[in-house]
Amino acid sequence: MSGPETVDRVLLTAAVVVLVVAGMLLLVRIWRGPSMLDRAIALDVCAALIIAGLGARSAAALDSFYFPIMLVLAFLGFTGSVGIARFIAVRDRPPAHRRPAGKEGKG
Amino acid sequence: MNVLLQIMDTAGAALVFVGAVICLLGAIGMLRLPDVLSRSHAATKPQTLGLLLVLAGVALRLRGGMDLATLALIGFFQLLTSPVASHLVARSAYRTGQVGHSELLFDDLDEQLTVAEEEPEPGPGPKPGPERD
Repeated sequence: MSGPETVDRVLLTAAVVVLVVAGMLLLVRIWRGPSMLDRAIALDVCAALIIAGLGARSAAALDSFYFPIMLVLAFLGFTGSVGIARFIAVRDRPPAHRRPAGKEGKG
Repeated sequence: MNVLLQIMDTAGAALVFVGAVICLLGAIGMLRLPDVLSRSHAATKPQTLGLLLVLAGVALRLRGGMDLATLALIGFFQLLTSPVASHLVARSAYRTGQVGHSELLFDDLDEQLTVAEEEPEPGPGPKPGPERD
């Protein structure tokens, strides 16, 4: 293996490692997140990280086998957080920050 | 020509790596920022800039017409859908009171909501159920 290909291999492997570390930090946020909205945002980022990881894999292997999966994730990855924000988070309120008085209960 | 292709390969790998590092920065921001809105601000970086850099790197390495079209579609759909999710999450965070009002410098939405609530209702009474506009 010649020099530049080794550089490519090292860069792509480091990219995958960095993406895995980012995914683990996101799992910490999903685990700890005080409200469902934090988890919704984290799941949205998680879909983006999966797309980036599949892209790094495609760049390393030089094939386009996983491109439809990336396309579907980019197209449908937002539906989960939209559903959470629209239907679940209204009922799930952490007791931390409160609105000013008189405006509680507005969904 | 071979040297040019090799340069494109290495530049693509470097772009993928930079995009992954930006994704890591966004994840660190998700972990450390205190609020739903600021976390949403941190979440925007891996979703748009990091992902677009990764896709550009993949496009530099693959260089096929169909692959380039698919990658452009992936970036387009990501750019199209992530503001929708971000907007709905931020709206729901505001409505359920998870925004720190003391840390905001300007809050036009609160003023508008308060004014809309203080106006007299045209109907016989307040509408039942939560507001869904």
